[in-house]
Amino acid sequence: MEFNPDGTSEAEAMHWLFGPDEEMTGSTKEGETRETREVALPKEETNQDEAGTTTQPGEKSLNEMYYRCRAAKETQSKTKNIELGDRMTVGQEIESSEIGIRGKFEDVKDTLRDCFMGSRIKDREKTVNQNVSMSVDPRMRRCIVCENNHDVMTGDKRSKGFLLTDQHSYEKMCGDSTCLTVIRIEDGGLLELTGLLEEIVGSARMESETIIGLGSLSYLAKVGTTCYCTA
Amino acid sequence: MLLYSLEWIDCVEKIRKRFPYAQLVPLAPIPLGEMSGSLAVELVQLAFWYSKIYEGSVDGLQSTWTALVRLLTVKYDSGVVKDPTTTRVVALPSSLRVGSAMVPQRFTESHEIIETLEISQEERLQLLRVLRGALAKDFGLTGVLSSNVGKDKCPEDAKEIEKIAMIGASNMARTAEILKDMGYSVAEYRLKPRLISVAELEAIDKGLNSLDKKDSAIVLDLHGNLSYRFEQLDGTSALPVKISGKHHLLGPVKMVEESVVKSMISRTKSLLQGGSGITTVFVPPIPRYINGGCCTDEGYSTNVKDKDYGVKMLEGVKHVRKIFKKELAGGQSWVLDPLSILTDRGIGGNEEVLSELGPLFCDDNVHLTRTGYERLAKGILDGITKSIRMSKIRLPYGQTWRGSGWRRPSGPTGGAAGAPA
Repeated sequence: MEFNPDGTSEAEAMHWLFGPDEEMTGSTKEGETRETREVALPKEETNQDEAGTTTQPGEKSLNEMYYRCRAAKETQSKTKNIELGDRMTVGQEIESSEIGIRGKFEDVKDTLRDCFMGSRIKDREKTVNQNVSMSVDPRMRRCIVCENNHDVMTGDKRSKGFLLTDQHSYEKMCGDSTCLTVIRIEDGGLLELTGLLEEIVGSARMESETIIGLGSLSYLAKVGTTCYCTA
Repeated sequence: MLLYSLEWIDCVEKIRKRFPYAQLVPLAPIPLGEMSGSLAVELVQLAFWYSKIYEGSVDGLQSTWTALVRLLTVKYDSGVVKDPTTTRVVALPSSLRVGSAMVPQRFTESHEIIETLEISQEERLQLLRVLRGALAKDFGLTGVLSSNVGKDKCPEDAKEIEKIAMIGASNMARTAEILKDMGYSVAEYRLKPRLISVAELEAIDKGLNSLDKKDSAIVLDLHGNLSYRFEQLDGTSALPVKISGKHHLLGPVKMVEESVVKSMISRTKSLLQGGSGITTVFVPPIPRYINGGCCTDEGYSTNVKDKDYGVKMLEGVKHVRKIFKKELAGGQSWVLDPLSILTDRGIGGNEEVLSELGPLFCDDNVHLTRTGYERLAKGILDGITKSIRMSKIRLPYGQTWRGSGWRRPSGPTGGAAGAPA
């Protein structure tokens, strides 16, 4: 994925990354427009979520777009083809009921309060249906979960590690002196996660000795049951 | 699994090209909620593949995978034993190069696949701590902590304590391993079994002096090996005797006498001054010989078949702990209650406690199982937390905290035990 291919500003290129009260437009089908949304909700409000459950003040509620993307992603899980980079496409049909792990962002929504959270259906022309949670504001590349509000790419307090994962990890990892940047995609794949990192980092340079931790349990659950033989 | 591993290789290539100075490492998951047994099997296979593919390199975070596999294996071992065992063959890439050859790997299953596995909140926290430790150890990323820890009921010490100095023998060594797995930096001072010399204590004292008072804690288990004895013909007690490499009790098993406990405490206390001002947890003798004696030979541990043997031993353990509490608790010192820690119901009837303690012992009736040491480690962390909290309580002028209540310093105006504020 090339960053900023058409010479637009970084903020424009990150068209899907939504801040509070920010609205963007995109396309769900060719030629059709749709509204885009944000997910970072006010912290001290009583809300009603998709399932009609009323949340308490301070508790985070997930909006309609979250549920839409999640449902679409679960439908995608039944796909017969699984892309492996540019090289090959293999796979088989997997029923969603066979997917062997429970647990979604919704189950830990109260822990998402301080994180950047959002959803997008499309990444440019490609349908992605991503729900993301990040410890960084992707537009400014600044940490939003620690007190320092530091730049994650440069400076003394730059992040020494990026953890790319799905919902099966903690949403933030920060201490007094060190902070890791946690980027999560609900039910995200490995290439999907690395693609998102590239998108966020953009043209910035990653310093030496930076570690990138990568793993997705939900993706293992999705693709793991293929290609077995039993002796 | 194959698809996952192939995609991993793609990611390695992608990261290498885009971020040539960064290092990609496999991140072990911290499972949220219930997972299927077959997924657990795949996780174990994935951990195996990572350990094989990264063998000899410094790609780190191995300990997090080890902890995850251990956790899953323990859960699996409680399942139905399979007869005969099944062998699964999985083709996996032989290297991290794109297009590398597939090599069949054989995995043997000795248990039926469990339908579902539940990872508890506490187990998730444990994995988080291991991750924290691995980040510090493998990559020098110290001080990293998820702020979720407080919400997940992690002992508050996790935020305050960086280093734990553990002084004791084999029980402390095994507990130290668990604390290390949980991400704590542990300094061990190993005592020789059943022999504490003045020189040894002086050396330890020197080590304690070097600890940073602010973020360190000391755990002392000095008397465990000295507290379980056998009664001699003249009524006095003696320490176990080493015969053919094993310690034996040559008569009826009994706990050490009160006067000896007090003497041991006072002598060691006077020698260990280096730890003053540091959060300290004292571990009174952990129960031993509850299920039986030193061996099955009827000539040794002659009273273990007595009807009330177990109950008497428990009473002895409780009594010695009371002395510890009276002599040592207060200020920044906390005395653990091993029975409560190990059984979660130390206040229950003796019979109930005995039945819960039983499965926690190894065959030697001295050492605990891994579950036992895990409980002990958790109890120690709780003890550290309580000790820190206690030390933060501001007392009215001139008063000091003692385990049994408020006391004024003795002197012309000071009384003995005062009333609680």
